[in-house]
Amino acid sequence: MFSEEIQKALMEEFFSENRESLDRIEQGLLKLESNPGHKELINAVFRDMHTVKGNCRMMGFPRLEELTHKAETLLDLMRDDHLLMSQEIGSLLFNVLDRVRKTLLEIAQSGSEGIADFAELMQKLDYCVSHPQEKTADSAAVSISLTEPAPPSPATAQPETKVPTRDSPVTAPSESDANQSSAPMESIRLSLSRLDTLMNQVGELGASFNQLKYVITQKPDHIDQLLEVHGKQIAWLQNEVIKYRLQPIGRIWDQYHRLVRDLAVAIGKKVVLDLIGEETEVDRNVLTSINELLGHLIRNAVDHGIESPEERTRMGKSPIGRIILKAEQKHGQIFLEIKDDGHGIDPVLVVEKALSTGLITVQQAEEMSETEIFKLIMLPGFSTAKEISTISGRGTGMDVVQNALNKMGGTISIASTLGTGSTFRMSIPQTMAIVPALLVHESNETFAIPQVNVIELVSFYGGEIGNNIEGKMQSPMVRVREKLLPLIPLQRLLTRDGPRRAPQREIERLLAATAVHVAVLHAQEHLFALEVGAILGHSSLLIKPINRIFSHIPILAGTAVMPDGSISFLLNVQALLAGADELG
Amino acid sequence: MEKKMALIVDDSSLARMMVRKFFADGFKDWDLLEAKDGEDALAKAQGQSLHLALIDFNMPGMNGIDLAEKLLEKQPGLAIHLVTANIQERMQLRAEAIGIGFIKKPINQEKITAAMQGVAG
Repeated sequence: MFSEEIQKALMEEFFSENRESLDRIEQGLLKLESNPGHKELINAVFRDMHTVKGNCRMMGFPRLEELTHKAETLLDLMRDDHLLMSQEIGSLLFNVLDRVRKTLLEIAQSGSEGIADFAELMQKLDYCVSHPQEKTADSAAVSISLTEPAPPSPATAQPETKVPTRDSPVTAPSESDANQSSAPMESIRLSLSRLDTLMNQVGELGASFNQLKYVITQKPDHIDQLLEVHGKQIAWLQNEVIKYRLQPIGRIWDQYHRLVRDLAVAIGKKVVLDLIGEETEVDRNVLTSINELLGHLIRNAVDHGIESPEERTRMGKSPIGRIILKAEQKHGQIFLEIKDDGHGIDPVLVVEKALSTGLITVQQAEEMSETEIFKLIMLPGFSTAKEISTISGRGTGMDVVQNALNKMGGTISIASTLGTGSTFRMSIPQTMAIVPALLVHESNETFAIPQVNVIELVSFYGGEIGNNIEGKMQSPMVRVREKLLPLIPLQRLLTRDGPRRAPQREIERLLAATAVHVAVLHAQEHLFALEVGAILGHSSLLIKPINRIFSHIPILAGTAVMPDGSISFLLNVQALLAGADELG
Repeated sequence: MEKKMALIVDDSSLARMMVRKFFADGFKDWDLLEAKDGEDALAKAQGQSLHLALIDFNMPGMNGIDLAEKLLEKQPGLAIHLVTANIQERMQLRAEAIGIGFIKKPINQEKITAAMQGVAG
């Protein structure tokens, strides 16, 4: 295709660049042998191999291209931490170098790569590629199917990951895509050594159970001691098994690239999605629910948050919008953040809309802080009228997000600056299975409050009540450590559908009581005191999803079976606060 | 007729040489700006009015998509194509989400002609 002269110049460049690249690869591999995890080095070696491969393709040497391509694939695995440099891999790659150099020499002499046969070498490369050993994983492992039990909530069964696209030049997300992304979640790999440890513990549990049986009949005064041992063993097992259920959140995040791309292409926007904290581990049940709400928030951010490239340019922003999705784990909670640099939420429009739909009164609107105003978009009645919610910067159905959070006992806060963008911060429990909880009694029922929300417990008797409880703006308040906190009687929240006392009567009731028990709770940035009938104590509860019949009651987050066989409800602390606000 | 300007970014000197030949051969109404990596490209594109950018994905320093983002910030309407042989799906989606096209390696005259169809003006 080129003149002989040009072809000759290209070949000269081909040889000289390959020579330089191969020399650098050799140097890099030598250094990697003594420093196997060195990211920069692996990257550099990968790039040089990539260049050599590209050169061979450009100049039409398919055998060399195939060989260097396989070597590149191997290096790519090392880049992604799926494979660690070892002596074996080092030797293999040095072998590749030698063969490539030799063949290049042949090409220099004869002009063709001849009948170079790399079959054996390529087989070895293929073997290494198809048997990657995770740095940390043991070589022996078993797979455990997690298909049973099925995910409990019907709402989580179909995560909304598909986006309708008007015209997508590549491929629309298909059924098989969805299957691919969910398939790996159905089973986990467990190292044999971990399974053996588990076996051992179960064995010991059996032994201590036999001991317990013996002691109960023969040495009753030793029961307490044995029960304690037994309890510890069970707690250890619970913790261990929960760990097996944890999965890196990045597993569900991969599909968001497709979500963003399809939406951006469909509506003519330019959007970059950045993911931070993909390695954060979450219980796989929680993962499904998270997927639902994150998908919703990302869709909204692309659809309503990020402006068109033209509008962004006009505003002096980069034409490319940016969405940052971040996860981190702290104190058994997962913190999720979705931040976009779009046009933000207009609090004035939100208030107008909330007023027009009767969600709030003028007086309430005047007293609301900006944070409280943004929270309005999460209310079920808010985002039904599409055209208005679009102007306010958020799409329809934010109550879907709120519901998903309620189910998990999670919380959300919204920050937004007009013209600059919005940030949604959420916290959810890392696992929903076993929750350390405070048990309280109210209206003949036992309720559980997640321990993470509890700050302290205070009981007032006799004269202390009048000294510490007062009415302010007709609402009961309690003084705890010199701080005046809103006092919310649980009883009042439970009778939300029936006749209720006027707030003033509520204060009178409290002041007339002989004892008032409160739990000081926090829901994100808010502190408040929950008044309960009695404080029972602490317990770790196995939480089950709430029955469908009760699922419309936002303050209930789950159920647990108590030692005596009765059922108690787990309270959603965030919803308690919201519920109290609604009641006024 | 005023000449248009294309930016070619590739860390392989052979690849750049190849593209240079294609342009010298078939696209005489184009000027070519060559850069060996992202930093180099940004420095050379400074103050220039570009019509087309052909960018290698795998480069030392910033990758092709990061460079494309930076170029788009300076010149929102610029037609950009990533020149790659094989690319991870997530990278491809990321590129498409900011409106970048692809040219599959090896590059040739036809593929460059096709990429020029999308150039404004």
